[in-house]
Amino acid sequence: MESSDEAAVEKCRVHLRPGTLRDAARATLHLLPCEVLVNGPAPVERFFTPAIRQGTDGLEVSFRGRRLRGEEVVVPPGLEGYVMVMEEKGEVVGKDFSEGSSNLREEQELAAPPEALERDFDRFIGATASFSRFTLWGLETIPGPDAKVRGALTWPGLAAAIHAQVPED
Amino acid sequence: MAGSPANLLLLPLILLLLGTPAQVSRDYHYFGEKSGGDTWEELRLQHQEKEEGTGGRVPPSWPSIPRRGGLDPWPVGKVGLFLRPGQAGAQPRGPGHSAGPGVHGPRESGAGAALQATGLFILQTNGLRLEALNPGPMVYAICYCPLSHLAHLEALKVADSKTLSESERDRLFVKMEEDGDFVGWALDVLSPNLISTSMLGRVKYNLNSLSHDTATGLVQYALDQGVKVAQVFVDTVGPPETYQERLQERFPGIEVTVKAKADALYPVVSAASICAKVARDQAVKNWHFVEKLQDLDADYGSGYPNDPKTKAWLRKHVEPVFGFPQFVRFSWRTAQSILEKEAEGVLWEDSPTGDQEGSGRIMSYFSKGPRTHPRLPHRYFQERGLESATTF
Repeated sequence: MESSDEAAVEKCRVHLRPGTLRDAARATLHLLPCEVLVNGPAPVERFFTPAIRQGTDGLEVSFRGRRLRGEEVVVPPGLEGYVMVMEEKGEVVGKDFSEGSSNLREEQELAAPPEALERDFDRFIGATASFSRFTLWGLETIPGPDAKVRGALTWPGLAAAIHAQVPED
Repeated sequence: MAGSPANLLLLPLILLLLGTPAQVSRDYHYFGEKSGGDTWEELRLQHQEKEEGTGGRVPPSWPSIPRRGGLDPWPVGKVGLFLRPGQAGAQPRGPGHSAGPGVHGPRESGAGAALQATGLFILQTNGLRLEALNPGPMVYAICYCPLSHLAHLEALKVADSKTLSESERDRLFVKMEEDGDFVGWALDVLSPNLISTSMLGRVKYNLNSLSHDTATGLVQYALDQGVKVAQVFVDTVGPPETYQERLQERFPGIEVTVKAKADALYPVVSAASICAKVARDQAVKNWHFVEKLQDLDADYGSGYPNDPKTKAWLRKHVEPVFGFPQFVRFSWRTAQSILEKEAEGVLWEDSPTGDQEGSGRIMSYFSKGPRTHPRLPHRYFQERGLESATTF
């Protein structure tokens, strides 16, 4: 599936629900050095959080019998982290603007495209939580300054710099 | 003659091979800081702090331990289980006491001194045995007894702990405790989490090596306590011959005997097996779960892999994402096969990648079709794990 990237890409138009960014509750996040082959809720508060220990040099925990060592990563200044969730396709029509919330009008103004919405083409994305820091876990070693995700967090700054207008001399 | 240059070349290689296991074991020295972070280790440190805080040699009361539902947590590492005569439950106890951590020496305070004063030449016999059941911790026990008192130990009718009922074991344990002037014991309790993380580590530390190192540590511990060890009888883990060689090499002045079923052959090993089993039963019964579990079923069964009760318990307590509570050794094959079937898959960065992918790549060089791999993004993005989002 991954090898035929271009064929697999399904074109769609994504609309952001801006109201969700304002209301998003703070979330405690953990980035694990492994991939859990399922997406969905998990009892983190019951199984994971109580097992975290403050070691002499950083945080320690175990997941699936493997030792993890972790540290806090702060989202760079000027940026804000959000947990974004794409709404299901079917939800576009019928549900989209009929939510009886106070920011209905505003959302309509900001997010509603001038064109009519198409069932399989227009999709909505919204934030379910926000964060300004998260715990980064490494397998048996502290991820450290060379961790990929730390590098990734430098991209927004670089992107802004290279896309900024160059002042003429 | 012609062979000698080759021999010379081989020698450093052999030395290297010999050197490697020792390095591994040093990395995982259980009594040291490496076990930090483990729940039980943490608790042990808490006790230590509290006891050191009291200043006195003997604290006025047992250190207060975080309790939940009246359960006592169990210590791990080189911490003793101290059983007061007549008391059927054991209490964790930190260092700095009469017999020191981990050892309930022959009788209370000054026992070591008494031995040295009266019997510098008293010979002692050591027995060693482990309890390797799951779920729960692994308990290693060492029992020692003067050679002159071996008959007394036999008279207690100690036997292989597996052949005794729980009440018989408890009774014998109390009996040994009462006869503390000729029986001493020490335990090393390894938490299941410590075992899982060692065995499933990037550098695998197998159960045999772990057992051997723990055993060695306990014998050394007895020596450090002033026990004059003359003979050591050990129930084997893995092939007895190599194990015996290893121990003999480590303790050249001691007569080492490693045998399968030593717990049925030598009373002192039987006694150690009783200590280990009683301690493990207590630990399992009073287990202090780190996780906030609901509807916990306390009927774990015997812990032997063929016990249907144990398997049923494991199956019932599988959590699809987290697997099991830390009470279970994840490295145990029975636990792993249950996880494979009933929990979600997890891929680690060091998980072996399927051969298919590799052979697919090799084959792709010969295929005439279009390139199967899309153009790679710039190294800047690759190094940071960044990809263009094409789907959500």
